[in-house]
Parts: sequence; structure tokens; C-alpha cells
Amino acid sequence: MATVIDIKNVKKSFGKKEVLRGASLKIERGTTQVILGGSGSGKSVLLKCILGLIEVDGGSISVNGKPANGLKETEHAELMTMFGMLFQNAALFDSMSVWENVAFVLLQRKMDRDEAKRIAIKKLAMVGLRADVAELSPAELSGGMRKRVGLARAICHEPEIIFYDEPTTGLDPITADVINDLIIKLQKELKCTSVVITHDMHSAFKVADRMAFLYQGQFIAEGDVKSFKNSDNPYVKQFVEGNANGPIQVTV
Amino acid sequence: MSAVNNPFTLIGAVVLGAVREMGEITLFLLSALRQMLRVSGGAAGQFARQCSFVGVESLPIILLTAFFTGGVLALQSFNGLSGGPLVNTQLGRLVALSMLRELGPVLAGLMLASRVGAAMAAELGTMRVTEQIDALVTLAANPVRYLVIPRVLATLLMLPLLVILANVMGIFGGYVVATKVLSVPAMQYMDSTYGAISGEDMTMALVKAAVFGLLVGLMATYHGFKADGGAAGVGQATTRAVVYGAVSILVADYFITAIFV
Repeated sequence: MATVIDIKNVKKSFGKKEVLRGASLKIERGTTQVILGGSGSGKSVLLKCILGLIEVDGGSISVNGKPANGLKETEHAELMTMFGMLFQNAALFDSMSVWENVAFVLLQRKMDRDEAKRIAIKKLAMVGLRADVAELSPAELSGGMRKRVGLARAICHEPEIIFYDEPTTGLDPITADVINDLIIKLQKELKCTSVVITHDMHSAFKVADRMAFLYQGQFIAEGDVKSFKNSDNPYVKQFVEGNANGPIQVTV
Repeated sequence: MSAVNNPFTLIGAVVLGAVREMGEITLFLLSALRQMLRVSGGAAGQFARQCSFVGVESLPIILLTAFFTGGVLALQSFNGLSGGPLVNTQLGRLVALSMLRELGPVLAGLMLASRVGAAMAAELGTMRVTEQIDALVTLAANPVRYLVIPRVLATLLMLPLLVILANVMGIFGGYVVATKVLSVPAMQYMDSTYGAISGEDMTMALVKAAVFGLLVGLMATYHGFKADGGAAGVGQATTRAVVYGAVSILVADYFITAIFV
């Protein structure tokens, strides 16, 4: 299977704080790759490095064999058309209606507004939202609906790779599972590569094809779902079981 | 003596911090200027909305401020001239020149820094901490082009227009107080006003207004973009936008005046 994202020895510090300390991972095309890790392990920073929102200090990231960092503005904008991103809190634009959020890229490309709205409503239907939601403002939506609209916006331009940053955080268990089902459904329908960052083990085991565990800025385990469920690695085992006692020490 | 208590260390840290901040603001301005050349039609809607917010919606507060400032100027100048023989010929001149050269641009700039600068910094700061600016980047939109340029252009273009109207209203305020309260003959007051206004005064007012408008927009967008740390961070960014905006207006005012005088 072809590698679509190749992360090699990526390092990133903020001041004296080393967040990524040589993270390496290959993400295969057409799979759902789950990246696990505790709070502050560097998951979201890694995601932002892949998207070029943060410049890496060392190492390299390539997408489809082309470097994803240090790009010129036009090259970066072109790279972004390959990605769709669901942010943790959806990051919907408050000043726009739901359909304008979903069709943002299309409107930027000067598509006719009626046509863009028609496509936005189609994408909203894909994530299980009715057309009457289209005219609402993001402030009128529940947490689950916001995530769905964020997802509709992420898939509107038919990206090859979709990133999910903590997709189930802050949702009730049933709504969280609906989002899990959506991730699986979209993966099948769009035949894209999905990268899911989470610490919700139920969600991780449900959606993952491959899993990787990020600890203190490095990937210390990588494998399929079965290998994670039966892992002997004390760090992975502690995290998967959600045990307070073990090699990972958390200070509250 | 510890580094924290050493006065030289503290002075050095403050100076370095100030220089770094000025450098960052200059780089932010340069990046905005570069992006200005690439602005497409997509930002036109944003620009129109910002012009309405900065220009039309600021008009009542700026006109009210200008009216009373003109009135106070007339009152104070009347007292300054001790109600003597110069009042009839000089009062209009004093009010007009003070409004045109100083108070019109500065007060309108300060009102804009507090009303518009605060709102812009809070809006962009909230967009930053809720990842909406990151979302723009992932949707292949340039946030500087999409968010900063329309706002800075709106303050740059709208403040001169506001200042023209503020000056007219300030002179009118002076006229009302002078003729209705202080019993200065209307004809003499107006003659004194017309006689005082020169092209150079109007140019100075417009140059000041344009520079102040740029500073308000720049400080608001820069501090909004730099916000981090949730609601508290947005609050700090808003405060900085207003304080930096107001202080930079007063500093720039001195230098522009020094060039013209």
C-alpha cells in the first residue's frame, strides 16, 4: 500500500519546551490512521505541522512524496486542497450561515451562490443534517450538529485526506458514536485517507485500521487494532486500559 | 543582586521587548502590504461590511464628540481672550484651526481606536483562539488577505472621511456656542473661520486621518491575530489594541505636526 503521509524524525519546540522529539510515522493511502496520546503529548501540534500551520524545527513531512513544509504560499494553498480538517470545536465561522461555512471553498472559487448552496445542502445530507439547517447560524447549533457541519465543510471540496482532531471530545456517548459511524461511512464513500487524533479509546478501536501511540513527542508504538488491544507495551497497555497506575505518570 | 531585581536587566528586557514588538508589527504590516497586491474580489464583501462598520456606524459618536469639542473650544477660547475685542475676529479662527489641525483627527482617531479597534481585536482574537483562523488556512484561504486587508483598508479610507465630517461638525459646534451662548455676531464668526482655513490645514488633517486610520487598523488586527490563551487572552489583545492604537496616534500626531509646521 502506498504511503500518503511520511513523517520523518519531526522535532518541534516552543521556547524551552520540546513538544515533538523526533516523531516518525508512515500513513498509508485509503486507511484510517488513529493517533493516540495523552493531553500534551504533541498530537495536535503534529497535525498542525502536517498542515503547515506550524513550521517544524527539524525532520521532514511529505505528502504524496512532495515536501509539505517550507512551501511558498501558492504551493501551500494547493496542498491544502488535498486536505479536509475537522477541528476539535468545529471552528465554524460565526459570521456566516451554516451553508456558507460548508461552501466556503466553493464561494472562494467564485462558484455561483445558488450552485454552491445546492452542493452544501448535499454535503449536509451526507453528514445526516436536513436542508433546513442550512440557513441557521453556527451559534444556533448543538455540539453534535456543529461537528457535523464542520465535517460537511471538511469534505465539501472532496479532499484526499481528512484530519479529525478529537472528533468525539465534548459530546455525549450516543452523539460521539454517531460521529464515529460518520467517520467510517465517509471513509467508505469517499475512499479517502483519514487521520484521527483522539484519546477516546472506544472511538479509536471503532474507527481505526492502524493505530500509533505518541508519548512525550515520539511514536513509541504502531500497529493494527488487534496489536494495540493485545499490546504488551506497558505504556500502551496503561493508556488503552485507562489505568492511573503504570509507567505514565500524570500530575494533576 | 538577582537578575530580576537588577534595574539594568529590567530596563534591557523592557527595551528589547519593545523593539521586538515594533519589529513584529512592522513585519505584520509588510506582510499585509504584500498581500494587498493579491487581493481578489472575494474580499470585496468583507471590505464593504467593514466600511459600513468603521464609517457609517461610527458616525453618530464621532459627530457628537466633535460637536461638543467645538463648543468647548469656543467657550474656553472666549475665556482665554477675556471676552475682549479680539473675540469677534479670532474666535472662529481659533476653533477652526484647533479642530482641523489637531482635535478633529486626534479625537476621531481615538474614538475609532476604542470603538472599532477594540471590536476588531476581539473578533479576530476570538477567531484565533477558536481556531477559525487555522480553519481558513486549511480551506486554502489566506487569513491576512481575507481578514486583515479589508479591515486595515476600511480604517485607512474611512477615517479621513469621518474627520472631514467631524471638522465640519466641530466648527458648527463652535458656531452654535459662540453665536447663541456668547453672543458673537454670526457673520464675523464665519468670516473669521473662512479666513483661517487653508489648503495646508486641510491636507494636514487628511494626512493625519489616513495615518491614524492605518494605525488603528494595524494595531487591532495585529493584536487580534496574536491573541492566545482563551477568553483572558482575547481580553488582553483587545486592551493592547486600544492602548497601542491610542498611544501610536498621539506619537504619530507629534511627528506629522513637526513635519508640517
